[in-house]
Amino acid sequence: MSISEHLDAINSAFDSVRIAAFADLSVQLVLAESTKADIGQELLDELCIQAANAFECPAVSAGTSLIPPPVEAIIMTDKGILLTLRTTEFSPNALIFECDYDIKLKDILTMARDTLRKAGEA
Amino acid sequence: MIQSRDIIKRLKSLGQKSRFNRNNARIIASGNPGENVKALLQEINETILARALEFQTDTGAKLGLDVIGRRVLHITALQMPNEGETSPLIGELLSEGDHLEQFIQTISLFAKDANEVSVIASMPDQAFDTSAVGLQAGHLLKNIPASNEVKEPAIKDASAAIAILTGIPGITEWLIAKGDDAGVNSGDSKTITELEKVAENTAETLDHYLDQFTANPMEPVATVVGTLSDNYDSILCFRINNQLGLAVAPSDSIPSIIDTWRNKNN
Repeated sequence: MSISEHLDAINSAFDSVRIAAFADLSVQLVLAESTKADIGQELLDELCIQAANAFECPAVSAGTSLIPPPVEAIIMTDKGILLTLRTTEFSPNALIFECDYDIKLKDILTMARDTLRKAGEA
Repeated sequence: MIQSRDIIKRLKSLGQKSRFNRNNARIIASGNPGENVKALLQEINETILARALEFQTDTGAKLGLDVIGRRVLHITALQMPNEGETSPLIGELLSEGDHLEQFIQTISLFAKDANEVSVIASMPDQAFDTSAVGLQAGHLLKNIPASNEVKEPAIKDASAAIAILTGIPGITEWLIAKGDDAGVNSGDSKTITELEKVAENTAETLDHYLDQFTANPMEPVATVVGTLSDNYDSILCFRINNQLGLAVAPSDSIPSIIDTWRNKNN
């Protein structure tokens, strides 16, 4: 399965997912996406920037020992949830999901981690 | 760890009034001021010989009375904690016609918030005018309001950030980093020290960080960064109104965090 097919599978498995994307956070570029409605490149770029910035939380980058190196992040605003995952703290490859608040977090995390693992093996 | 809302629920179920203190850092189970007032009047009612009674509460309030023959002749002192409270009756020769209501207000104020009232009785410095009628304890007891009518300070609503942090099951270690209630915290002291260090070093940058995700700084915004499942902890960072909160978020608390923010945005 290609990464696009994995994104389509996640998108169709969850009604609450509006956008599923695979991105290179180091250059803030969406490499593949699956959406329920037509969206512009500008929105994809913005999601990618926000996902990259989410990991730059000062409370974490201040060197706190309270948590292990972060690999996942959620942003919650009035627009909904932006969920992003990467395999390791240094990995540029990330999955990004724009979702509604009723997303089944545990289920999407399981599927997304599996997708990231397969993308890493490819 | 027991959470504030559980403590308040338990106190309510026991019929015990409770409230947050001034900076929301503690929950205070209030005493029963009505019972304290009755106990004070009962002490007066049992005082036959001339005595200077000095009442003191566990909150630090002090009240001095000159008493003889079950009657109060004078208020000699009134001192409330953290307030320059006094009574216009101090030093006045008390009479039922002029001072009964005001005297009851004074002792109600004195007993406010008290869980315990103690008394020291001593010989007066000067002989009392035994012909003075004063306020008779029996009449005072008949005129005090029922205990549940004594005005109790209202339970102070927790600020928005504290309501969020104490309302999410699983979150036990948190700190208000900025805004109203800044510095209020809960949890293990080692973790709180770490959160305080983070807050001290990053308060401004945290604001800029959150600004990136919302066009309107008045809009509630939150991030959870870490590992979102498998029993790991993440860091919750949020802004609501002018308050900036930080918490350690165990993975099982994250669905509740999402629910909380859904409610904020619906």
